[in-house]
Formats: sequence, structure tokens, C-alpha cells
Amino acid sequence: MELLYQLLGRLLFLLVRIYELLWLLHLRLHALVCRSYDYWRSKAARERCERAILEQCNAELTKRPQHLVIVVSPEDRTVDVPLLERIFSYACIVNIYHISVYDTRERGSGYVDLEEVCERMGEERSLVWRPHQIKEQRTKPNSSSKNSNMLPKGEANGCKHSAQFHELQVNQISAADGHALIAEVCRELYDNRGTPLVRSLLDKREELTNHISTQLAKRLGLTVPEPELGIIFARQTCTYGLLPWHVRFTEFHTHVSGSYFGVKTFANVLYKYSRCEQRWGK
Amino acid sequence: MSWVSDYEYTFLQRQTLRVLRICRHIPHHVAFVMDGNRRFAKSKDIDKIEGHSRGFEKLADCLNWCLEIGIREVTTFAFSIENFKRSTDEVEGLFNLAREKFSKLLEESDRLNEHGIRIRVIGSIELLPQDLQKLIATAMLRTERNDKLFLNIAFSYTSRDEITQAVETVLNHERHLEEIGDNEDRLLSQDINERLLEECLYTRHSSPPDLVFRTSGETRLSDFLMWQLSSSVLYFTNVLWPQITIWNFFASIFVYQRASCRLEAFRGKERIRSAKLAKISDFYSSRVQTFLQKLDIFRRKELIKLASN
Repeated sequence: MELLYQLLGRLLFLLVRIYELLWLLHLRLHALVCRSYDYWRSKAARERCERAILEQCNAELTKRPQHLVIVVSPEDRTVDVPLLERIFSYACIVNIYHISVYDTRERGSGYVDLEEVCERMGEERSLVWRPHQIKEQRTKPNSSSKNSNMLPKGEANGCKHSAQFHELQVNQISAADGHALIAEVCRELYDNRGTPLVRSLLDKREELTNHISTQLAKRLGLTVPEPELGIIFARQTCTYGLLPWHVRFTEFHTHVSGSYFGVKTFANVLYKYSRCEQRWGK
Repeated sequence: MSWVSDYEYTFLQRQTLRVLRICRHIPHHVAFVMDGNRRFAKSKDIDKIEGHSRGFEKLADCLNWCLEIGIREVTTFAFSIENFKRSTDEVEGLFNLAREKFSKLLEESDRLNEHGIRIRVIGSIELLPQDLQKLIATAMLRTERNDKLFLNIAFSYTSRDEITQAVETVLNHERHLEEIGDNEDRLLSQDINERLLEECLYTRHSSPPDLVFRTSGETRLSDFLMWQLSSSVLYFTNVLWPQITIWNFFASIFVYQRASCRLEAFRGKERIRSAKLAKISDFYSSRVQTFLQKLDIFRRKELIKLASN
């Protein structure tokens, strides 16, 4: 009898595996077709189309995240610089100002170093990503320094804009920013345990919680709210140790590695986020 | 309604259960976010508390399924610290329900002992009414020798509060040592790392959850076990908690079994990293281990104090 159950189980898993493989193949083919179409169209035409979709989305959203976090799983091989830049440009259009990227892959296995595409601002930890429209504007000799980070409403790339371009604050998150950073804050507090500040923090837990939040934000260079929306590029939903202090109310959306991530996918994630209701315990 | 229901399995359910159990790994620890009780009550036009009560009945079924399939640890999110923001009537209603269920638990502790179920309540129970604190502490002490199924109930809990509590435990340990006249075994600054903090959480004696199951279509974690779930498979389903069936449960186990193969490499790396950290930070030194033993003793004393109030 046991053997029969084992056979049945193996058969079930085999069938599911075949189904998954066929589904993955379908997703890859779909991605190939979409990428070919993107390649065939001119960049300007693609951007015009993307902008139209996102502007409509923007108008229909009842709420949008201020801070988006992207998680890339260790086995993902599809998230690369062009895809991230594309997501950054989508975020700019829908007025998302902050993106954190948590790439769990190792260097040499697809890990994206954001310093390649973003600029570091002095000693600050966070990076700045600028849409190419701003970069082009900056290179023009007559561009006003006053408007260097924002383009006026108007025409760029052959299309009318109803929104201004803006810079994006980008943070590269690593595994060390999770549990280890909380431990670091605890160690610092322990070293100063005799001081009046730490003694007063121990009188009320809420004060200690606020202090930890402030210290973590300082170390992470986060001047923004906690991420409200997270996109996980993986075959399963898992946080991979992403910022345990900060993502407690983040709405997670899992995008299956290997499938095409385009403007419609991004818009759908935003629509889904816009529909969900946060009750904050009430 | 008992804490473990007498669920009657159909033939097909029993066979599916066996197939799942024989073929792949069964998660050791499953965490449930029992969401959707109020929406269920609204949809059925019944009182909110009745919705919560139906939710508890489903938990009893769920515990039976877990026992039957071979899951050894279950954590449920019953009441968040954020839930204190709800109306006084609802909060009081929830406390009454908890009083009723914990009293029932104490009545049927023989049955729990027979199943080997150990109850652990995690959270800031000092925020709860005193009589409820007493019931909870008694239930925890009465089942503390059981070891077949661990049922952790997160009550008056948020993960952020739990982490702060862990930091507080480390910062306060010197004061506790001074109180008992012990001037040795003080922690050193280099002893403090994520490995030590993990041991100061309420879930000190639990393994991290392998699977987190959330109902009602929400895809957030609502400040539940944020520290512990870094390599857990998250499973979100649209069904409201009181409406889940054994088939939803089987689906989550199946998803876990498929996903866990892909997560194994990541988990392995995490285990190695944690072991290396423990080694380089003297985690197994008598200083740190004595601190942790004293923490256990302190927590047990607190429970005894609450139970005897």
C-alpha cells in the first residue's frame, strides 16, 4: 500500500513538474515575443506607448506607493540593468520617488551594482537615478541650473508630457542591512547603557522602538517611509531576509522569474496595490 | 468547541494526506495569519465575535490536520497590539472569547497532554487584563512538558515589539544580574549580534516557520514574525479564514513542497552563515549560554508569578 502511495505521489509531482515546465516555456516564449516587439519598435514609440499606459494608470489610481522595494531571488537570471532602468523610468512617470533594490544574487551570478546606473550624491548612502530626459537636458549648454532636476511639461522624445520628470532616490539593500543592522544598533545601545539617554529609553518600550527606527533609518540612509509595495522576482514568494524592521506592512507581489516584465505588468501591480485596503489593526 | 477538533476525513482526503506525507518533506513549522473573520461575519450577516468564534473552530480543525499530516509546530496570529485600536466592544469581545477558550483548554488539559500539545503564548501579555494573563500563564505551565505539537499563539503581539523586547532584554540584563547579586557572566559588546538577539525573541525555542499561510487575499505580513520568516515560503490565498477547507491546506503544503526544493540552497547558505557567526562571536561560550539560561529561568519565574496572582 505504501508503495502505491509513493507511486501516486511521484506521478502527481511529475505531472505538476511537466505542467510547470510547459508553463515556463510559454512564459519564455511570450517574453521573447514581447522583447522582439520592443526591439522592432523605435525607442521613442515604445516610450510613448508606455507613458500613455502609465498616465492612464496614474489617473485611475486611488493611492500609489511612495517607496517601492524590488527583491531579486538568488535563482533569478532575468533581472538586469535594462530591466531595472525600465522599472525606474516607470516609477518616475507614476510619481514614485524612492526605490530600494535587494539583489540576493552573488557577484558574477547576475548581481546588479546600481552604482553603474545611478549617481552617488557625496557621502550619502542612497543613490540618484535620472531619466534620460533629465540627463539630456543637463548636457545641453543652455540648460538652467534651476531646472536641472526637473523638466517642464512639454515635449520630449516626440511625445507630449503631462507630468514632469524627476529624479529617483535609489537604495541598494544588502543582507547586512537586515538582522545584522538591528544587532548593530543594539550593540551601540549596549555600549552606551550607562548614559541617561539609554536609561530613559528603557523606561518606555515605545521610546526604544522609535529610537531603533531612527537609528536604522540613519544607517540605511532612508529619509522616506517604509516600503509600501514590494515586487519579488522569484518562482516562490519569500522575503529572503529583506529588512525585517521595515517591511511589516509592505504589500508583496511575486513576479515569476523568466516571464516578461513590461509596462502592463507594472501597471497591474499598481492597480492591485491601489485596490488593497490597509486597516492598520482596526 | 475543543482546541483539537474531531475532524472526520473523507476517503479521498485521507489518501491525499498520505500521498503528501509519504512523497516529500512536510514543513516542520507552519505559521497561520487567520485573517477574514470579520469579513466572513459581515458576509453571513452575523456578529463580529461570532465570526471570530467560527475562526477559532477552524483553527481547531487546522490543528487536527497539522497533527495528522505530521507538522510539529504551529504559530497563529490571534491578536495584534495594533488590534487594541479597535472598538472597546470588539476588543472586550475578543478577550472574552480568549477567556472562554483558555478556560476550556485548562478543562481539557488531559486531552492536550494525550495529543502531546504544548501551548506557548508569544507577545506582550502584560498588556492584557490580569485574569487573562493568569489563564494564559497557567495554560503555558500546565502543558510545558508536552512535545509532540507546539502551538504558539501570538497574542498581543507585533514583530517590532518582539524585536524591541529582545533589545531591551540585552540592555536590561546587567540590571537583572545586579538585582540577584551576580556580578559575573556579564555580556561583552562583541557577544551582541543577530544570533544572540534571535535567542532573546519570544520564539527562542522554535525553529523559523517553513511556511506562512495567510488567508483573505492580503499579501502583506502585518508585522508577524518578521525576524523569523526570512527563508519561509509565503502562501497567500483569497479564502477567508473561517471558510478554509482541508483542500486549501493541502494546496499550501503542496506549494511548500515544490518551493522548498528551490529555496534549499538559500537556506543552506543561511545556516552556514549563522553557524559561522556563532563560532566567531563566541556564541557557545559559557558567558552567553549562562545569560540565555538565566533568561529562560527569568521568563519561567515571571509565568509562575502571573499564574499565582
